[in-house]
Amino acid sequence: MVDRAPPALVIIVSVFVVAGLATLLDTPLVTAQTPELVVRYVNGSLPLDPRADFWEGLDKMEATLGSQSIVYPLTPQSTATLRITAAYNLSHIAFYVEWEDPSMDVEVPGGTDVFADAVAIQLPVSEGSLPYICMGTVSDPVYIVYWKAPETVEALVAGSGYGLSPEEREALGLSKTPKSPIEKLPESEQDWVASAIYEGGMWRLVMVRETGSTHPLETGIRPGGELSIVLARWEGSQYERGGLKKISGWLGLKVEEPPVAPEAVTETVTETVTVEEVVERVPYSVVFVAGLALIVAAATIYVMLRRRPSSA
Amino acid sequence: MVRAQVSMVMVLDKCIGCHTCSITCKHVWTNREGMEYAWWNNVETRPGVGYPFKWEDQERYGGGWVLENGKLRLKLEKENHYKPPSIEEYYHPFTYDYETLFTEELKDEQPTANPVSLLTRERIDVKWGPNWDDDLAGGDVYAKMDPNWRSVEKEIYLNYKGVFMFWLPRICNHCINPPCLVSCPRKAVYKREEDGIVLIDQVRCRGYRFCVTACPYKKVYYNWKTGKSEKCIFCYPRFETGQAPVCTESCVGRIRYVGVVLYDEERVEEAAKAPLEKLVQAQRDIILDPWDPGVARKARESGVPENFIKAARESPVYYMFKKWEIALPIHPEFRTLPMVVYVPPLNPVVTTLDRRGLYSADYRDVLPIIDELRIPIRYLANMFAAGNEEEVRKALKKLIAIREYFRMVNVEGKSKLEASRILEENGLSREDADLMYKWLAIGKERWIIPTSKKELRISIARRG
Repeated sequence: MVDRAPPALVIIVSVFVVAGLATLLDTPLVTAQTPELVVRYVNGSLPLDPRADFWEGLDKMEATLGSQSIVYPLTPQSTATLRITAAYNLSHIAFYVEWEDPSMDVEVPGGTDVFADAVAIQLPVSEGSLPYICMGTVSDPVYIVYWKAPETVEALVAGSGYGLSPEEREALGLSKTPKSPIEKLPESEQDWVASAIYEGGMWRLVMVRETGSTHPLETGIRPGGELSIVLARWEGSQYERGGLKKISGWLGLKVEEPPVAPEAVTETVTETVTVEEVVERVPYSVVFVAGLALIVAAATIYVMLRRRPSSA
Repeated sequence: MVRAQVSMVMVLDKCIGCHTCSITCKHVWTNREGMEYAWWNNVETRPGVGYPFKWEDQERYGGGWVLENGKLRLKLEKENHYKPPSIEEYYHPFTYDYETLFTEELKDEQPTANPVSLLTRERIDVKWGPNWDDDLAGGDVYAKMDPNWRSVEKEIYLNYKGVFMFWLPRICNHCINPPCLVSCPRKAVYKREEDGIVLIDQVRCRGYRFCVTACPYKKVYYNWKTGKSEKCIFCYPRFETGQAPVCTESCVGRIRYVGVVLYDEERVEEAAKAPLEKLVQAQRDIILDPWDPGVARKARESGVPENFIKAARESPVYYMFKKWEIALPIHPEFRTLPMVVYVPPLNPVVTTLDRRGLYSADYRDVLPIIDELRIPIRYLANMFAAGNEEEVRKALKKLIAIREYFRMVNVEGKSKLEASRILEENGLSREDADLMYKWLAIGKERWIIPTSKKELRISIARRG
C-alpha cells in the first residue's frame, strides 16, 4: 500500500500545481477558441429595442450553424447563419441576434402543424469549463437561454439533473426528481427579458439579463473574463423543434474590461447569495494559497510514509 | 417476461353509428380549449377517408414502422417526415352562433345560427368535419379516396346496387409496439408496466409532436393551448376501479368488449417484423394461453397480479382475438401490434328468401359465396389483415357458422348435437357457441376488468 501511495499523491499534487499556475497566470483551464467577439462594456443603459442604433454600431460575429447530427431525430445536413453581438453594463448583459428568415413563424390557436422560430444560447455553468456540446453532462452542466417567437424566453439548465440528490434538487428550486435532462430553472431565476421584431424578412432579437449569478446553476458574467457559447436555431417553417435544429460549435467571447473596474458587479447580488455561490466566489488567490498548502501537506505525508519502516 | 395488456374488441356489425362514444369521451376528457378539434374517440363512415383526412395514407402522414434490412425503423425518421397534420386536415372546429336565435329582431324568416370558428370566433364556411361523409352523404366524393380500395374495383361498389357501408369507431390502440413512444426524444410517452396503457407525461412533454406524426392511426393530439400532446388514456382512472372506459360504458350498440390478455414480451419484435401476410397470426402467437399453468407461473414471476391472471382467463378479447380468431387488428402493416381489435362486419347478415317465402340463411349456400358478400373481402383484408384475405374469410365464416347453429336450434328445431356439426367444421365447440351468444348476441359481461393490484391493498380497520 505504501509503495502505491506516491503516484496518487503525485497526481493530486500535479493537479494543484497546474491549477495554481493557471490561476496565477489568470488563464482559463479550457477555452472554446480564440475569442471572436468582444462583449463591449457600456457606461449607461442597454437598449431592449432591437431597432436601436446602438446595436447597429456594434461589431457582430457571424456564426454558421449546421444540422444537429448526433441524436435522433436527424435530418439531412443543411446550414443556417446567425449574427450575434453582446454588450454589458454594471448590472446587465444583453445579447443581440439577427438572422434572415423568409417566414415569420409563431404559434397560433389551432396550429397543430405550426412551429415557432426559436433561438438559444448555451453557456457553461462554470466559467473556464467547456462542457459536452450537446447540452452538457452531469459533472459539467450548461445554462441555456431559449427564446421562442414572438416573446417566450426561458432560462434552462441541462446536464445537471441526474447528478443531484432529491434534497439538493429541492434546494436548487428544481422538482425532487428530474423529468428531463433539460429543465427550466425556478421562477426566481427566470430573469431574462426579450424583445424581438420581424421586419423585411429578418428577425432581430435582444435578450437581457442581470450579469450576476443568483443561482448555482446560472452562469455569471465576469468583466474581463471569457465566455464560451453555442448557438442554436430552429426554423419553424421547416418543422424544426427539439433535436431538429441547427447548432454552432463553441464560440469564444471576451468580456471587455471596463475602463474603471466596476467593483459593484459582484455586489449586485446580496441577500440571495447561497452557500455554493460563496464558495464559487472565493478569490482565486485564496484557492492558490490553499492549493500550495495542500501540496506541502501532501509532500510531508509522502516523506513521512517513505521514512516509516515497512511492516512487511 | 409475461406482460398483461388491457385491450378492446369492437364488433362492427353492431355499431349503429350514433357517436355516443365520441360524445361521452369528449365531455369527459377533451371538452377544453386547445382540444376543440380533438376526438380521442371518433366514428368514421366506411368507405371514406376518416379523420384526420386520409389518416391511413402514410405517404402523406409518415406514421408507423417500416421494415428495412430486417430492422424496424420509424417511417418518420427514415423519410425525414416530421410534419404533423394541419388543423384543416383534422377539421376547423366550430360551433353555432346560437345567440342569434334569441337576439334576432322579429322578421318573417326564422333566425339562423350560423357556424362560428371555435378558434377565431369568426363566422366560417364549414367544408370538412370529423365525419363529413357520415352515412355516405359525401360518398360520391370521399368514398373514392378511401385508401383501402387497393386491388378492389371500387367502381362496382360505388354504384347504387353495389354500395355498402359500415362504421368504424376508433380510439388509441394502446399498441404493444407503439411508435409514438419510441419517437419521443423526451421519453414523455410511456407504456404502463401493469396494464400496457400508453400515456403521455404532461410534465415531460414539450409539445414537439413527433408522437403525433409517428402514430399511424393519428390518435395523439397536440393541445395548442397547453403546448403539449395528449391522447386517449383508456379511461385509466375508471379502469383502475373496475369500470369500463366511458366509450364502452355508453355504447348503445354494445359493440365494445374490454379485457386483459397476457403476452410474451420477448417475442414482440419478432411479431412486429413478421412478413405482411403473417402479421395477424404473429400478433396472435405472442398472446399467451392464460389457462396454461406454465404461462400463469411465468406471469406470476413477472409480477402480474393474480386478479389480472384471473381476468385474462375470462377475457372476451382473448377469446375473440386469440381463441376464436374472429377479431382482427386494424392495419397490422403499420407493425404496431395494435390492441384494439375488430370483428369485421358481415353486412348485411346474410339471408335468402326460401321456397316457402320465409327468410332463411342456408349455411351451405352462403359459404361458397363468401367472396360475394356485400363488402368485398379484399377491402376488409386491406383494413384488418395487411391484405391477407384468408384471415378475413376465416373470421366471417365463423360468424356465419354461429348464426346458422342457433338458427338450426331455435328456428329449425334441430338438436344442439346435430347443429354442432357446423361449429366443428369451423373449429368451434358448443361451449364456444354459448359464450359467443352471451357476448355477441345479448351483450352480457362485456368487460372483465381487474382493479389495480387489489391483493396488494393495505388492510385498514373499518370504522365501527
